[in-house]
Amino acid sequence: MPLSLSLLLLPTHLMANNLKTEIDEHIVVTGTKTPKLLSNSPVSVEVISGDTIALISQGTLAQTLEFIPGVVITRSAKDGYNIQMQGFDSKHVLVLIDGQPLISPANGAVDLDQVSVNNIEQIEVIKGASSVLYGSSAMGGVINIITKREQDEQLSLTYQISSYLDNALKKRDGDQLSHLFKINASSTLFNWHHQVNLQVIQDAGFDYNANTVSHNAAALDKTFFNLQSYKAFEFTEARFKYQYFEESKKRASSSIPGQMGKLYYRSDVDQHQVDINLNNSDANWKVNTRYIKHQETSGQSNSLRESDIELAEIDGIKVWQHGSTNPKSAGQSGGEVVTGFVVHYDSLNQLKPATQSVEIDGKNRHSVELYSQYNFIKSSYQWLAGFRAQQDSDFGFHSALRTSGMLQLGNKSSQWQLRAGYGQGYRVPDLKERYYVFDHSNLGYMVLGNDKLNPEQSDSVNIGLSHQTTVFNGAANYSAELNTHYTETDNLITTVIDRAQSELTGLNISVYTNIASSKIYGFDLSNEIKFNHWYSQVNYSYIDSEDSQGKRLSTRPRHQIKFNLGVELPSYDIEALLYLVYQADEALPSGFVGYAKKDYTTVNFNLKQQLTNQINWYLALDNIFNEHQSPDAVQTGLFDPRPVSSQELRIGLHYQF
Amino acid sequence: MKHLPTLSTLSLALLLAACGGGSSSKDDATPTSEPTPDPKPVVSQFGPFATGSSAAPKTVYFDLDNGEVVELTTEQAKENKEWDIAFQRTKVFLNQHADNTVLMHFTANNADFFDQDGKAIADKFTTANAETELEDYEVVTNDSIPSDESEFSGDTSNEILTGFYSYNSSTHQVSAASDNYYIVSSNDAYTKFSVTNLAGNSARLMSDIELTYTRQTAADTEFVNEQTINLDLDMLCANAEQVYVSFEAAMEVTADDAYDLSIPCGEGGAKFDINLHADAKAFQDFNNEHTNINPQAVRYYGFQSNEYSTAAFDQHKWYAYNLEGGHKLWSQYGVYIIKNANGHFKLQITSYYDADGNSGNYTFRANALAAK
Repeated sequence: MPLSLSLLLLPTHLMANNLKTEIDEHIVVTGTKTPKLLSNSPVSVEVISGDTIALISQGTLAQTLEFIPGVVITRSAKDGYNIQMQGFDSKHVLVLIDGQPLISPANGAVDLDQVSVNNIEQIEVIKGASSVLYGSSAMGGVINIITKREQDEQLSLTYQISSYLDNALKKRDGDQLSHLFKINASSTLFNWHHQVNLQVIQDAGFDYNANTVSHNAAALDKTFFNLQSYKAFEFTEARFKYQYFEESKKRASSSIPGQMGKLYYRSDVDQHQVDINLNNSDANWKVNTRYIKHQETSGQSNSLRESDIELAEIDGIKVWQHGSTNPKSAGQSGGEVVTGFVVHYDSLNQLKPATQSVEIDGKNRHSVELYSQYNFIKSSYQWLAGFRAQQDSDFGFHSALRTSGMLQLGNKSSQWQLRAGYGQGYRVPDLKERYYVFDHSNLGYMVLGNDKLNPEQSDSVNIGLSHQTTVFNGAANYSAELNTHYTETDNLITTVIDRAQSELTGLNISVYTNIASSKIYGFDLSNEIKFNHWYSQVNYSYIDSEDSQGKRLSTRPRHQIKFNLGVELPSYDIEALLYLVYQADEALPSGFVGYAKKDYTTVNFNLKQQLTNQINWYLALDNIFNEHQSPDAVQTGLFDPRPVSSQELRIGLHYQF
Repeated sequence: MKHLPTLSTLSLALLLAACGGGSSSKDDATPTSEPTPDPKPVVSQFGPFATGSSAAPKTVYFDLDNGEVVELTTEQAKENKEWDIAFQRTKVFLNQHADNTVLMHFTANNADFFDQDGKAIADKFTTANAETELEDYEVVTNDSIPSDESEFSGDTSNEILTGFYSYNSSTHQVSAASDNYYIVSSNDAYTKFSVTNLAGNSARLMSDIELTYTRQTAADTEFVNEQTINLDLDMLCANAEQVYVSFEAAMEVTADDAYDLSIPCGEGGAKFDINLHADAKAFQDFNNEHTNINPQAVRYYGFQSNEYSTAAFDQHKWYAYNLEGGHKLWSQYGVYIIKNANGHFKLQITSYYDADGNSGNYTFRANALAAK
């Protein structure tokens, strides 16, 4: 049985352990939807391993993705976190769990702070247009979170306590500390393997200035509960998964003019997710279903809105292979065809209960999508071509193409790989962009959806060269990679003033419109060296962009450097990681009169020590130099690109039964 | 009606009685010869009064004499003389009824809430509250009422296309005010025009008129392509009640066409009036400042319908907007002297919000000022 075929249904963490080569290796599935060795993937994929996630994570995806070179994490107006990749904002980066999408409650984007990283095997990242395999919203790339499937009976507990130190909120009850609790258990019962994961986060929030009414980060409670059961039958494996998420936030945002009370930003979220998966190893097909229901009450306390979001999706995939898909010699070759379908439905209902004003009146859309991709494989090169067609209830027919290739050079101890690809991307307008009625006419403005919008479209070219070798007489592995990218987008959706409606009503009325086009281009350059007990990586990313008027797109740092240094001390069972993020030179967004600062650096430190076979403890100091946005500067009209963030000291204890 | 002075006196009496009621027996036993301090002035507070939601705005009509809301429809309010001041979302209106023409004088307190350029100083607004600004209210007494009537102003009704001709009172001649430009928004285009020639006739009506204009269509970024329209009004009014003009067609058209302007006819010519189409809006550019219109900023040019009202409160806005984000309105705690048919009152708007922070809920202080 060919390698990729046999790997299709294996848990990825097992594969990663068994197939480790001299040069550090992972199995990835996101690039082609079939398992590939990272070094043999025709599409460039970056991986964060479960071990690294466990070391750096603060419980959710938000801070974890900050570790990935070239990725920019931004804080949203809803006190959540969004992603930006290769210059594309969060609406254009698709976030998946086990290959299927999540709902996007944060202005059309996934809130990374609503995704737990408890029980994650690895995170795979594809940069650049990926719409052929993943459809709408994958214009800027794909983040695929692969969850872990425990094979053994096990039980573990984790408790973490943390403080925002000088920025801690001065609570009346005196509790300025944050808490995190995790329990992971797995067991076999009635021939089904069951796995339970619970994560509870109580975050105290932080405040830069105790003399102001407003706080800078909300105090919040989050609960993530995950139950999954799976069983391998003779030809098919079945998996059932249920996830529950609950979140409650409250942050003082301002005083009420002329009144004694305060206004608060509030958010209460209740979300249920059900997945059912069927895999057939002999016939090489999989069918996945997902249903998510997300209910949210959020906004300023005087203007709360209720949102009801549903997503339902069925996708199926079938793989055909011929020849050798893992050729060992120049004379061998093979190929695989990946064909799949997706049936998708989502709906959105949004209203303000205090005034009974309906913002989105129970709208929905659905689509049927078909895709096929062929990967021709020789030991020295691979070629890949794919096509996707989508029939959408709102927009009719759309399609996307992609082709890419990889050339293998050098030998096993000194590998060179050249990857090049062209891909089309698209994003269908979301329901908010089509049907929104945001009525603030009492304050002089409205924002309206537009049901005549067309999908955004993009054409992207990526070229990358990577090199891996051993250095210092085999004492270390060294890898370097240069990736360049260029994308042109059309029909970008943005809000513009509607002149006629504004005059008619005397209000400032903005309407979502297909109007803008843009170019985004840049490169990533990374270097990594790994010795037995320490490793270091430095990455530089350059992004530039221009809209149809030749202006740079805002909120995109032109320069980013990410550096990390990891050390293992085997005699003490200690591993430590220091990493920093430097970002500089964002275009000045409209509405600001100048810069408060043009660049900044955040530094984080993590340490973990295994005390016994059962117990480890860890310590982390995030944002060591307390680099954060200055509310005073923003108040005076200056743009401050620094994050709304705080120095934080975390200490945790993990017990494995 | 008009009981507020009575109520104020009664309140004062009750306040004094309450002070007296609080006297102890010790006071009775030991009479004091110290002078009685001046009684604290009575402050009457009203509200919050909800002016509806964005989707369903509501106008609150308030009778200052009785200190109460008068429930009226918009149409009823036009004929009603009971109410004095009205609140509709951020707008404040004064009654223009012939029997109760309400006027307003702004005392100009808290002028330091704005800098030299007239820009709101955020800290001044956000740290002020009803308590800190009470003194500003209390110091306004009947002595503060300006003796010069011209210090008061009221809401006015206007027509936007006035001023297109000049009248020489010496020669009794009428001529075109060709430097008085108007910018009209109609039929998806902007038109900048002035009357460049005008002739009257013996019937004291217009006999001929020449309009000169440039246009900015959706394809243009500025006013271009100067054109003229000459109308023989004597002839056109011979069998018509109105003469209709289209800038796009550059000619006289019918009422069924997409016209921009209309000129009413009289007996033997046209009246000295030009009106806008009901769907069109315009503003006066008498300083000839505008070479284009920025479609992104149309709201800020001040486009008006053919007939429009100017609120006296718009000249002395009671609030500043969005000082610290969040689109909130902050009162300037200005004190206004309101004159109605029965007397003078002072008024200070203290909040646009109720205790839960819901906008459009007015709270204000108002008290009658005793006559001099």
